[in-house]
Amino acid sequence: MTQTASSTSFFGISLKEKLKNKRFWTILIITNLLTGPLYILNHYYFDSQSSIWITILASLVIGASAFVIPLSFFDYLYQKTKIDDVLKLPLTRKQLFMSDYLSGLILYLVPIIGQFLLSMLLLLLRTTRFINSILEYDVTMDDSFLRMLRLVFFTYLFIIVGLMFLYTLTVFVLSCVGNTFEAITASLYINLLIPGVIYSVGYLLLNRLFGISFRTLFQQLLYFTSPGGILLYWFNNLNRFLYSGTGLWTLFLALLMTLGILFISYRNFIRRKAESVGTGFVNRIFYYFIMASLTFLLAAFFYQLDINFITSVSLLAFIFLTFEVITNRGFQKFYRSILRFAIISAITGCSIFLIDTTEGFGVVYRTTDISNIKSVSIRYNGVLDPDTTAYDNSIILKDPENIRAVLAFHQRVIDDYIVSKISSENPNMVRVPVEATKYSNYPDSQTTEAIPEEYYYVYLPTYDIEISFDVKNGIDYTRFYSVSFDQRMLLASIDLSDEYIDQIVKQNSNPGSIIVSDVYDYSSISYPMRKEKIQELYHCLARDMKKLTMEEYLTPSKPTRFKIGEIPILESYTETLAFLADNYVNLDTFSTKTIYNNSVANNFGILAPIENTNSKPLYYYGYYSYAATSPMYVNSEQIEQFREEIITLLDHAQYQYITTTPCYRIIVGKWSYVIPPEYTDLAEQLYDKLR
Amino acid sequence: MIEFKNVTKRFGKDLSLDQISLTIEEGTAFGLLGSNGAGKSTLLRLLCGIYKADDGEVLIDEASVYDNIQVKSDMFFINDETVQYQNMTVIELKDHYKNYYRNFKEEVFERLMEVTKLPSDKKMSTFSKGMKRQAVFIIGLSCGTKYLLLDEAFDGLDPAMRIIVKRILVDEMLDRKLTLILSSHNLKEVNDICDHVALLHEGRLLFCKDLQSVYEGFHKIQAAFSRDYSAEDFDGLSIVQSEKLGSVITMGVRGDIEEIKTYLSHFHPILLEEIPLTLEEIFIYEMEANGYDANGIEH
Repeated sequence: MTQTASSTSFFGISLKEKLKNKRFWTILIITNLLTGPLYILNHYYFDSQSSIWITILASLVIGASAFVIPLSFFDYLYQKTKIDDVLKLPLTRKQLFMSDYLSGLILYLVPIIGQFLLSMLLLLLRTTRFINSILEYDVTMDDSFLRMLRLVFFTYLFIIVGLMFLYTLTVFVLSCVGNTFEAITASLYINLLIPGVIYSVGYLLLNRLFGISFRTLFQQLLYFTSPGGILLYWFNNLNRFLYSGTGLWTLFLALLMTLGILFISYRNFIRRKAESVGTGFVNRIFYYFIMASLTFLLAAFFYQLDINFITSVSLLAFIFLTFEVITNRGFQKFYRSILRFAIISAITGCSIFLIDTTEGFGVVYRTTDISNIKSVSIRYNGVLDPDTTAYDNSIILKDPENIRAVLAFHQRVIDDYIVSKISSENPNMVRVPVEATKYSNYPDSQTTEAIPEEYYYVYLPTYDIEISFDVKNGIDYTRFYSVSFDQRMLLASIDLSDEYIDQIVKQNSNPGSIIVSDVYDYSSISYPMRKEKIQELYHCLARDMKKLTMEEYLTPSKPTRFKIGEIPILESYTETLAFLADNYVNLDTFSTKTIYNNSVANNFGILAPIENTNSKPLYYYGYYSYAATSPMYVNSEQIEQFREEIITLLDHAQYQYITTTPCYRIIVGKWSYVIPPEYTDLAEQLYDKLR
Repeated sequence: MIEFKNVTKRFGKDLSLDQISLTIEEGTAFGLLGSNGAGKSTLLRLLCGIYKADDGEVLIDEASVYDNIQVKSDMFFINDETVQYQNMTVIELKDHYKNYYRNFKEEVFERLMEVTKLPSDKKMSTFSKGMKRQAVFIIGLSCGTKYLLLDEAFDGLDPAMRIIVKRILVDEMLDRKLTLILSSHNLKEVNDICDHVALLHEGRLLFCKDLQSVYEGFHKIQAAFSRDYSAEDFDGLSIVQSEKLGSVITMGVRGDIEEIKTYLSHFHPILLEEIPLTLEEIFIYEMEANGYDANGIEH
């Protein structure tokens, strides 16, 4: 009579079998209790950090278990004595793989999920009246506590997905190798090679190409393609980004990667032969992937370090051949190892050479016709705000006029790059005659180089900008440039477009309150408001901004003193100002005298205008422009002595102002503010007195 | 019924089994003979679905064995390794296999434990090699499978235990038509238990027949002649192996005994007699006939 194991019971059997090692599971459970729950107990109940090292060590043990458990559950893949006993059992290969994979994963994750639930419970209990009455200080379920709960929840989500990934990656490695040494070593270095190769391709090679951004192309790739990447994302984003769309998308992609690796592992497992046990790498493709990756990673690194060709090749050969000798357990057929090295290094060298000399196969110069563009998204907060990468949100532009402006900007950046490649002159440099710098002050210069007798070169600051092109036909692409202010000015027309204003206003709107901040000392006041009121305010603001002319936008007649969110409020924003007045928002604090008392005392300086000789437009602007190298600073006695003059200058100093007309700027705190050209006399008088 | 149809198995470039075809009837005790590396263990591993044939088919009751739960449930394979059970007690080992073999017979297990007097609560790491092997035998027999595959499984058993195990095996064969397939270097064991044998050499099947016909087709002749003959002079006989000691020639000859004797009588022998053959001698003669160095054969 034929007997069969129930097809549904094999998983339960496997689970029961694995649970027999009670000692191991007990240690794992205790280790789990020593991580999150212990940390929360210490941190939130006893206000102590004393157990942090225990938590870190226990976390390392839990992380190491993602190697240890698969190594133990799939030991028959690399132990000859066990393979017969496992494969003779009445199970299909599929059942065997899935039961071992799932039982291991479940037994690994259940204690982690347990510690997560316990941690959340401990946190919630901390807010109860009973616990608050016992402990020294109260914890209430306020906004910050809820945010923290959400952060803990997402931290655990990231940890669980990351550990699942690590566990699956180890199973994948085991499906590719056939002995203990390779099982352990390959499990370790595959975790370093994946991010390493992505980094070497992305950062060391492509990031050298003009306009190609490691951040947009490869950093994201780094986050979901390896367990270490997930950890890196979590570590870099211990804030709202952890549970933003980007965070969830990263998690989703990491899960997809895990499933992909699981599928490949399954295929390997099904196809591998029982007799493979004992051979180093059962899957030779995997071995060559490791060796090619290692060679590429090291070659890219040597190239970046400008190590010469012979030294690089010698080092690579030494490392590669050492690995070959270890893997082949000796020197047999060593000529094959040398041949393999020659092929892999030739491919690596050619790849690096090709990428470098062809500038990414011409991708650097890629532009798209306006007819083929659906939209353009740009990390950009207006021409006056150079720090575009500080924002997570992009502005999406669909208006053909705006797209045209972006394309013109893009073309100009590429053209300038081509010119700069031909000419020896740096496009971001102005040549300043010595006599023109009679006050020894340079605008926004980062470094200056003296040229004998006649000139100074002044390097102008550059500003990062990121643009993504959503094209109708073809692959979407993103470019990242460091541009001059002159180039940025090509985007200025976008700032006054309806679609830009609508989006920028929406991005700056804060639910529940409006935040009014000082443009001088950046102190802010939050005014709680109903949602409808806030919407009304932002409607007023959008309408006011849309009425602006370019002249008023770049050179406002009256200075601004405060911002709502990140949007400076001009005197011409009549609807907005009326709304604020009607809703009791106190704007009196932004007077010149208050600025003098609060901000000038800390730091005050004057920057004189200069003339340049290589006919490049030199912009004078305030806002985020950093201080020049040698402004005329004022000491505390002088601040008191020239009080009236300083206050007069403050009356006219502009936070939002852009002009090519030479003019003075003042420095208050760490920002600079433009003194419009019509008040140059006032600034010059004070400047001369200070000299 | 077990059928090997043109089965080939390679390990890399090495050919382990070369187009093997053989049939094993249900209820038989089948012995696999062969030198080291002949392919006996490979054949057994193919039979229980551990290995997959590169060519040909391995069929059990007309169903392919590889990845087939139904067929594998009817098989129990005991190899020559026991180290994998070090951390288990016999009871734990029983519980492990009981999960997979639904026909597991507790009463057989209890009976055999009683016979062997193995400690049930001690880790097998404390057992001698023979005790470990007894334990595995007990489990294999208790699983109640139709086919029991033994790869050098008698190694390590003491003579008394060998007798007990053999008796149990024979009982099982009689009681429930257990089919036994065993590979062994110990030809006496095969001779004692098996009713069919196959001889493998360098991956090829030299013969596969019932034990009786193996003996019937092979004869050991001792003869002495007045003239100085050598084995080469008897070209009318199918001589597999010969040895001359003084005037006495000892020959392993294939064929009908009466025909052999009639042929040799034409050479006027002083002495002509058939002496009893052991399976071991047949094995050695066949192997030498196929170019094997008899000095290297394990006994």
